[in-house]
Amino acid sequence: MNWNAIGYFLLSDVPVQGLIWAIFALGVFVTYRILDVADLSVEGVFPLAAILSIGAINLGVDPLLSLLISVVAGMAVGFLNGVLHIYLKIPSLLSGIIIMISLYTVNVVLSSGNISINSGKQTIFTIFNQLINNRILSQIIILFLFVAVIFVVVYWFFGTEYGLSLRASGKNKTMSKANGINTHNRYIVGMIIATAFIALAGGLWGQTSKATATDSGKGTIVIGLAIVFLGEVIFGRKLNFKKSLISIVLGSFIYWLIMDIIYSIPGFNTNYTFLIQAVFITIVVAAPRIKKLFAHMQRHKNSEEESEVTKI
Amino acid sequence: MKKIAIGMISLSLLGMMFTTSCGKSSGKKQIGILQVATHDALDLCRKGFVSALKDGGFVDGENITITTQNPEGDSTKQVSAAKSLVLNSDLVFGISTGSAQALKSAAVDFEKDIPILFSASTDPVGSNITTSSEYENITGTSDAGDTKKNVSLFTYFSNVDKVACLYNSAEQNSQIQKEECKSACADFNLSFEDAGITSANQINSAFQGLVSKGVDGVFIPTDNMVAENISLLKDIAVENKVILVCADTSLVANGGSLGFGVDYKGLGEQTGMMAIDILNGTKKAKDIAWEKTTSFSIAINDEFFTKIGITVPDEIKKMMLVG
Amino acid sequence: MIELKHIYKDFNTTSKVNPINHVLKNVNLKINDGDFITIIGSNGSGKTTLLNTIAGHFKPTKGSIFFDKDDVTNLKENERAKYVGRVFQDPTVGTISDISIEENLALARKRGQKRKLVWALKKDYIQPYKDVLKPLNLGIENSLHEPVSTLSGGQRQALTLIMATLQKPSILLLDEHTAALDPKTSKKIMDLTTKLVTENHLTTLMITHNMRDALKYGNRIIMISDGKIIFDGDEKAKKSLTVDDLYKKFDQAEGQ
Repeated sequence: MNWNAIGYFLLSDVPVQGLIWAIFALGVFVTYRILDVADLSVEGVFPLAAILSIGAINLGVDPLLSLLISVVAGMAVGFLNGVLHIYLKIPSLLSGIIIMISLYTVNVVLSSGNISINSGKQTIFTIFNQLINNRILSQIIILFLFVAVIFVVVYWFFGTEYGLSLRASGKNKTMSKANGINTHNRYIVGMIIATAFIALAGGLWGQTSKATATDSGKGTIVIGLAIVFLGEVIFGRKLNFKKSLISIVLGSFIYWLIMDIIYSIPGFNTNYTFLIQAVFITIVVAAPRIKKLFAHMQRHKNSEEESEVTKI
Repeated sequence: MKKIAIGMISLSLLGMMFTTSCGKSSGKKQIGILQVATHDALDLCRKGFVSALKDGGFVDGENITITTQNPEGDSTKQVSAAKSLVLNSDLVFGISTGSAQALKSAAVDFEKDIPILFSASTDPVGSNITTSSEYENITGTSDAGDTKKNVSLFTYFSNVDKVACLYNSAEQNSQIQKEECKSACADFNLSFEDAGITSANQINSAFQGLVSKGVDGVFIPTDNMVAENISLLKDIAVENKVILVCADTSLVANGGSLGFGVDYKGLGEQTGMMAIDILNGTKKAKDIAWEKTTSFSIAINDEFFTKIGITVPDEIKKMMLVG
Repeated sequence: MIELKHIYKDFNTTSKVNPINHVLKNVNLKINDGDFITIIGSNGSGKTTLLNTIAGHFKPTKGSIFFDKDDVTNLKENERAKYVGRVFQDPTVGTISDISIEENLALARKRGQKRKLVWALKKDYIQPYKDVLKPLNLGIENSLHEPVSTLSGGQRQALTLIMATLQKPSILLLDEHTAALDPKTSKKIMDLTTKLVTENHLTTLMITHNMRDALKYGNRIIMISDGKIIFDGDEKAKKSLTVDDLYKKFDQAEGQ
């Protein structure tokens, strides 16, 4: 077994994927935990962002600006998603699906099925690589900077008066309205923020992979939720906000460590990863309940032993 | 809960150590194959590649170890699988445009000068597989079919004057072939209908729509989505006497009427020959020019024609003999 | 002064026989500054709807509402919140369980004001929170960073009361706010209510299902039946009425 190659693979892929998907999972966290909705639009936004990011670069746009374009597009989609739910009263699950389906067409039209970075064009990573001449390290450093800045800003934002009211609005609409909070406005802003993160992750992914098909979003909501749940299961759910954010990043790293270890097993076929992902998520989500069942069984066992003693 | 995480990771590492064959034997070349999804054409391509290697003296388990990864269309998994294969192999083979791109991207990032072979990509130039100056150690075969040749088959049936192309608009390869069909129809004086779909659920309704528009011939390109679901169309086609020309011969057996197909097994073998030269050290991938397939075979579904009561014109039957 | 003029409130129902449910029927009410009005009525009489309409949760089908000179009829609930403090029957509604007591208070602190991009949990705000919580003698002021879920139902209602009055509201709306509590805690909350109302001279509307409390507390009593106010008693009336009298009044109204 080529331990060197495996070690190098883990050391390089885990941080890169861990960082990109931490941003993605942050977006899922905002919709799923803060706004309390299941948002499937991510499966259309993620490839859209990758396509725009690559497409803009091919058209000669500066790579960082291309990334910004993807994020702005994501924010527009998030706004639309929010409006569909708040003003047209479409249930949030459905509005996400509507967006997802609409984006299939948009993505196909924009990319004709496959889009890749043309010869001679730079990404934000290759530009930085000119300084340090180590491609993997370039990716890790730039991604780390993005994650660090974003998570610090997010922590600050949700601790401001406005940000706190956004969190409140997702947790208790009645109390929020009674305290003067415009819950409609907060929902839409929350959607815009969440989708911006999904788009950023997609744009970064597009620039690291240098190519994308239109279906690169399939299955991504599962990854995002798996990371959020994994973080909560390992580090606890009743946390303060700062710890919740940290658990997302750590959850992402652990998720990718496990997945990449699986990919490293010689002869291991990717086919199995789907079932493994499903089992993994089941264990992670059901973990609190499993814990309770064990505790219950333990107590039952103990009380049985006690009653036997008293018989004598 | 931290304990469970540590437990899971340790178990994975242990599992890794004890499962399957560790190809630690020195001298065995590691071959990595990345196939984007399970599909007749792609499977045939892989089999052709492996059998060509065998004929050239490279046998899996003896002097080479072949590892195949199939992410079943999941782009995220494909990226990770590509990286793993690139790092662990001496030569990699990507079956489909996306697979080749993922392998190339991984090789570039890891700065590993590994020979990369590709196949089953319709436009390797446009997809930046062969054009990119940043990585040269790559070659392979393209499955660009001869769409015009296929569309010409419609001209042998006097009742056909309205032709449609049914395809997955998300697949770039299909888009290209649709455009080729469109211009071929213009050349042959056939009217053209564009029937692009985005999900397998739409195949049935799209086809019904074409029938009601009076379409009497449908061209189906090498398209993964429609290919997987061709059996859905069989009955409607027979009922309405719509002739299905398929660019993939395996589709003809599963429900199409006839078609010139790329011989995917042959395509795989063609690529395998390139691999043999590379493995023997006689050539480097960058010295081998990529090739388009030249061998086509025509397949005719006699049952179909019997059912719709139309005789296959003699001219076409003759093509079969020539092959 | 708060004034309700010719308030009607209808709801659509799924019934084919009665497609419209007329809940409030021409309610006219003048609430003077400093009034502490107890409201009683049977289930379905419209008392909660009345409170919700004053708060802006429902828009009246007809009629208008004035807070002093301002016509607030068309203001949405969150826009009207700057005038209104509310305590709900369910202790889990008035506060947010998952976040800390301090964060809850920070939310209440900005009721009716524009929330900006400034840090919500400044250290300077903590002492004022402690000052309002200490008199409760519940020890809440020592666990400001704990999530609200660690508090009991009674403690949560006390906290909700404090939050509703952190910024002095033009009107305090209490909707059976002790109904979900045990008798002992209920008394504590009523004592706290009286204290806050008296100290801050708050105009208050309190719905209660307890007839004795309805007579005991406040300077005015309103009885609602079938969407109308059937009796509006002042302080003198409250002193002379008994619970039996109230029942008789209800029977009279329902008989007609």
